[in-house]
Amino acid sequence: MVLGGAAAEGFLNGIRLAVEDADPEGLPPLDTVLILEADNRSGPALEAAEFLTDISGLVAVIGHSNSTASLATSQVYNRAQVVQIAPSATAPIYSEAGAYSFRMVPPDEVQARLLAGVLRDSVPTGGRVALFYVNDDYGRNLRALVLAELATEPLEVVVDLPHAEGDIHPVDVRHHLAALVASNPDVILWLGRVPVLHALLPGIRQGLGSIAIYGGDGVSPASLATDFRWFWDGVRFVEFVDLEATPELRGFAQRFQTRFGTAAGGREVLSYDAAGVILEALRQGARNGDEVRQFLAELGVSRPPHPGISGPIAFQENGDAARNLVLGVIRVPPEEGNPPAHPPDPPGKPPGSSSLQDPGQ
Amino acid sequence: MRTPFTPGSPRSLRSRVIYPGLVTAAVLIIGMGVVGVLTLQLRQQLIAATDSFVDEQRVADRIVRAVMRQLAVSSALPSSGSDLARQEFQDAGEILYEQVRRYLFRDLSAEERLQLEEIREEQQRLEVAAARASDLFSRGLVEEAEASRDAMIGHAFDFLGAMEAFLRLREAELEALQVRQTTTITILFGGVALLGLLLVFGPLYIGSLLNHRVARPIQQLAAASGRLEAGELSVRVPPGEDLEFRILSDGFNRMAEGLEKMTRDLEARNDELAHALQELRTTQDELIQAEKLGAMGRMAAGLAHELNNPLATVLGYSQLLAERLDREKEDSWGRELRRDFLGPIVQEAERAQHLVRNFLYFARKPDMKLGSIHLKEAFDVVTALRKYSFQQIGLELEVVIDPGLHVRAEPQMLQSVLLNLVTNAMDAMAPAGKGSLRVTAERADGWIRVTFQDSGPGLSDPDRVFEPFYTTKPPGQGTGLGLALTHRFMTLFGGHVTAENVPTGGGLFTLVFPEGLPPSAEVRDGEAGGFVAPVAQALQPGSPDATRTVLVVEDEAPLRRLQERALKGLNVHVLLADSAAEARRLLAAHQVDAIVCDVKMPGESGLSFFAWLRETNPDLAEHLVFVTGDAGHPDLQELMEKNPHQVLWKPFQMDEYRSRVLTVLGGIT
Repeated sequence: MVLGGAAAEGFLNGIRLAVEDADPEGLPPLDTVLILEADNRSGPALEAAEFLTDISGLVAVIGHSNSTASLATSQVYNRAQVVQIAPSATAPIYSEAGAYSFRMVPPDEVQARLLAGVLRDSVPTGGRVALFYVNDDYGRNLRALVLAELATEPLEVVVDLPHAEGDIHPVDVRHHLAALVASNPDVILWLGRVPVLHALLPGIRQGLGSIAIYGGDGVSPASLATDFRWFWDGVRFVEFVDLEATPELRGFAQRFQTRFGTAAGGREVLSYDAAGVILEALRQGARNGDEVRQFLAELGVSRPPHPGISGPIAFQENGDAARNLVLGVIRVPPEEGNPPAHPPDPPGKPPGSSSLQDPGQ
Repeated sequence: MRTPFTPGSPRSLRSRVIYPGLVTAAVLIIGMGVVGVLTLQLRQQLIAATDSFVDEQRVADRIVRAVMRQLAVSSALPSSGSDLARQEFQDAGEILYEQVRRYLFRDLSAEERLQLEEIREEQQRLEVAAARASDLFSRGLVEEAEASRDAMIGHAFDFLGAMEAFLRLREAELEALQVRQTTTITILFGGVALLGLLLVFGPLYIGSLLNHRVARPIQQLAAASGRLEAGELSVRVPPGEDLEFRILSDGFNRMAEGLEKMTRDLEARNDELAHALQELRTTQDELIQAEKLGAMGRMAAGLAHELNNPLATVLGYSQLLAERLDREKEDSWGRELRRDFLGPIVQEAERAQHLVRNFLYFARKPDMKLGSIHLKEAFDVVTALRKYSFQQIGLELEVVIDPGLHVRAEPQMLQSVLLNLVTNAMDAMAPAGKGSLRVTAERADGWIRVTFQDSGPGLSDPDRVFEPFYTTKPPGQGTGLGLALTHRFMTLFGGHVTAENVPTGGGLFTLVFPEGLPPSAEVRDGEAGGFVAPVAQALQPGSPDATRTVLVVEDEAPLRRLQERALKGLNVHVLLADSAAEARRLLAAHQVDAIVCDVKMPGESGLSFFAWLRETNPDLAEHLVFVTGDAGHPDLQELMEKNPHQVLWKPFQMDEYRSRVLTVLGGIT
């Protein structure tokens, strides 16, 4: 079961594919409820969680699609003793959500270190950084961590502006562009939502040209499937999984593309693996939330890690998964009448995607 | 034995007391446990609620302080636009965000959780608006900055509204918690009160139950046991209401019934033993009496045997002398000699004869043959014997006997009994010279009751009249054996005799005989009732002739000569032998028609001689008469029962002697 916001469709397709790929041998009859939310806000997520926990026999939930919704619903699932696996929630406080709260990704500290390192390596000394973030559980935590990482770096944050969750406010677009142009930054660090960036990018390309843009995990090619325009070309972002890293991942990407007609990202891989580990728990005899929780806690401890396509899957005591993050880049063919938007590759770095090893792992 | 439980049996005390007690105890324990658990839960709830309240209050205080701080800074933030103010604002915002997110992990309702998210979102909007306004002010875009500030103020009010809504929800939740805790406390107090009631009324109920079901039955049993111990064997306890006391009461009642029955049996047995003891004492008295009489009789028998021969000699010669005087001296001298000299000799000899004969009765063994005797005929003999004496004295003798009555008795003894009582009455009334004796007989339930009531002076001591040698007669007039023999004979008959005085002054003797069978059912001897009537043997002298020979076998010479002289009057030839051997020699040498033989002789006895004779000359043996004073010899008793005429007791009357000899000679043709 997947609950999501803008990227919910990709999550759902990952789960669908996992269920389709699953060997029915040893599995009990499955009753899957798939819910697609309209947005990422916590209100609808809470209502969905209350609905789900009223279903008898519910053992696990895969979701929600972001930190805010995952955090808001975590206590509902913990109280109902239903396992929650958040595929991409990175808010640090989620580690304290409870025994039934798991996630497929490490918390924001890892991402913050990755982004700070990229900035350190790509921006010259005294460089100007424009920071935009969404003022929710995702953006404000990641911003604080990145700023903490950059505090000792010879960089100047010339713009530090938030935007609100939800609909795009025209004032914010104008204001952000004005602030951005006025500050003349060397690099843009985007820790906000994709729709806002999507609204800003034409103005950015017009005013700042091919300025380097680095985004958090919220910027995903799958999230932009509906309006993937030229101005996105060259935008770099944090990706949870490098889909070119292994044959299994490449095969998954191909099957996903074939099955659903859209490209797969890291979140789709993680939702696929999350569904896979839940199905394995059921295959191993778990029949309720507590037994599924027990199975997940034993992975990597008294059981071998689950062999997901993203790699061996095990959970730390606080429910977090250890994972290497990579930096991906968006490549879009140039459109007629528009200049190439992609910025030059950072010095010393090969073009295309790059990855950084989490120092903490 | 345990009474088996049946569907109709009462419930056991165990099930009635112990099981409810256990249930009550279990209820108490469970209730106390529940109360304890509730108390612990309430305590934990209170602690948790207090901790939660304190923590929540702390978080709320931080949130409020952060909100106030952020709002305060935000009012100046747009216009100042300083980095310090922005940092202050952001720090307050971080605190606010952190506390709101901590609040997320608290136990909240879905509505509260939604409201909390609303707070968070409004706070984020406020922060976004504040940041925008500050940035615009800092870049001199006053008009846009003021618009953003207005938006910020709007978000601030929305934020405060969300806060107020959340606080109202928390307040409602706290009130609900208060209600729940109040309810829990009420339930707890109710449980404690219920337990208190159980603790108070449970023992009272159990005590009442024990008093009614246990103490009272035990008291009843104790009281009944006491009454039973005191001898009230009919006491019973009511059946117990519970199984155990039902078993106990049934057992007690069975025990009481058993004791009562055993006591009745013991009393009956005791009565039987008392009766048997009385009979034993009576038998013992009789045995003592019999032994006493037997010893005396045995002594008397020996004495009598020695006296019989001289008495027979004296009496016989006196009678011969009297006969001779009658024949030869019919003058006055002869009459005087007979009346004044021979009369007293004969009279005293006869008295001695009577005395010796009574003695011999005591010597007889009680193995006599009882038979049915016609009572009227027996009385006729007695009446004939004593009628003249009664008339001489001036007494009346009235005998009223139904001719149909028969008694079971021995003829000789019966005669003695009747004669004793008639004579005793006559002697008692004789001194007065007047009086009457009335004898009656009646049948009563298989017994014949004969009464002798006289008008005489009565008995001086009725309890002693049957003692041997007890007599109130002057010396020389009574032996004191008559009534003792009467008592003994009646006992031998299977009956009894009593003596008493009647209110009119006379004595009353009552004989009770077993009733005899009528004549048709009783085999009788040739003589009436076996009763020997000596006077019935008519003397018929002179009928035999000298051709008949009578052999007299007697060791004592005077008696041989006496018998020789007596037999001369019968005109028979007499042979005399002093021993059995001499008798055999004479039998071998002479034709003998009859033999008169003594029994006790030196050397061979008369009985041995008789046995020899029955083998060698049975016909002659039937013509033998024993003349003996040995009345106790069993062979003589047997012979006397078969042929009474073959035995004649010493001393004898001369007429009787001759009559008996004639009898045995009469059968010879």
